[in-house]
Amino acid sequence: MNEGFKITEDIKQEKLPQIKIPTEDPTTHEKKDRALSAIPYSTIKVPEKMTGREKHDMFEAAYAKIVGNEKLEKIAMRAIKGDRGAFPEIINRMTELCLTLSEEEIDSIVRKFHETLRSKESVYATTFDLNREQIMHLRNGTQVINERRRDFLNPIGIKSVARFVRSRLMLHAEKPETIPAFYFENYLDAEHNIDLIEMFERPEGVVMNLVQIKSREYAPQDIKRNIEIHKRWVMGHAVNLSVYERSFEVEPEDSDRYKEFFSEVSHVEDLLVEMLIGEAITTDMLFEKLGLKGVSHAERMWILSTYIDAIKEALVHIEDVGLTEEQSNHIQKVVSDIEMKLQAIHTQKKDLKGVTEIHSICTVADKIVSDTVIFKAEGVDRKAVYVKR
Amino acid sequence: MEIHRPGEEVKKLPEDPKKIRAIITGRAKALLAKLVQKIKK
Repeated sequence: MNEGFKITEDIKQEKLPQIKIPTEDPTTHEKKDRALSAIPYSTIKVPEKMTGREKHDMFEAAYAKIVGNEKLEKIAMRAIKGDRGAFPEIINRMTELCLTLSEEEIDSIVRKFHETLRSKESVYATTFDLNREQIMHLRNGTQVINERRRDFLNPIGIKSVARFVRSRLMLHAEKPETIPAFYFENYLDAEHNIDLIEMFERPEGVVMNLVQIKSREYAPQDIKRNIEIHKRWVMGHAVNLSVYERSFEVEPEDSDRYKEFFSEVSHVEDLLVEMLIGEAITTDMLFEKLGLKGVSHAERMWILSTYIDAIKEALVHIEDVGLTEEQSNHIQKVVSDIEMKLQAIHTQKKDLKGVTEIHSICTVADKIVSDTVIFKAEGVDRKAVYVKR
Repeated sequence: MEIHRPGEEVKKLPEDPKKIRAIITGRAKALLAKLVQKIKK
């Protein structure tokens, strides 16, 4: 897959900067764009430069979205039950809403969130089947991951990110030719020690910063380790189905999300039936209909891979049901063909065409303690990114 | 970005993957049985 990055911004209409990733089908070279959701720096304000009214409104808005929010509370329950991915998820969601708040306000909102959560202890203890130890975690706002206890509702992490983001705003304000945007990536944080991605355009091209933000000093080996992990992410595959699989969230069978997922399963199944019965649909058409032609889509890939594994297992017994060799071979051939195409998508590497430089950055709040270039584009690749104003 | 590369809205599996696998395995068996019936006609 060819994956580059394209930034567009319409300053006059004050539209949010948009980063699009052009993707290219490796066989047909057909191109498609996918847009990222981002937090543009223009939407973040520094509390010291806000009026009393603005501050009040920002606080009220963040409070209403965090305190008593059942979705966030459910993520907190997953954290309590030991879900490793739930920690960055809840912190990132809160951080996005708290970037404009003062440190006291962040403390206050996180404390109130926890108080509300605690007031629902009996409900959540039953719904989530918490044991005695987990109930203690609920009361303390802690979780245990790999036998290590940590405060997942400690606002210090949120404050560190807010301080970092604000310091970058000041930096970018001094260089108006740059167009920065920030991205929070839950999965990246859980798997790749990336708290935040900062991307900005400057005259010589787009720079991508993979940022790990801590509230306390790093041990030298931690910095080294982070750089290695960031490098592995840069050079790694575009899709990681095992990460996707580890991120499940149990939904009731009558929920919209559950229905949506199984309707996707039925869609895949219908296409497979069409294919296996005859000539009506080719593997290329299957991938096109699923939107997988040259594009990685974790959910559909996961469903299709799971289906193919299940079909292969069932095929072992198909000889007993009286199909001719030709019919049986046809099914085997279709399954192998799908597997081969899935494998091709699965092993796609990230193509960083269009990114001039990637930095691995370690910070303690707003203080950068390490900044290492881990990717540098050469020659024509530098020309692949452009900014439309 | 992984599964989660930029631009893709990442949704979580709505159930324990083991359970979904079991459901899909059941559906795949039924699908093949149905298929065999159709092919043999």
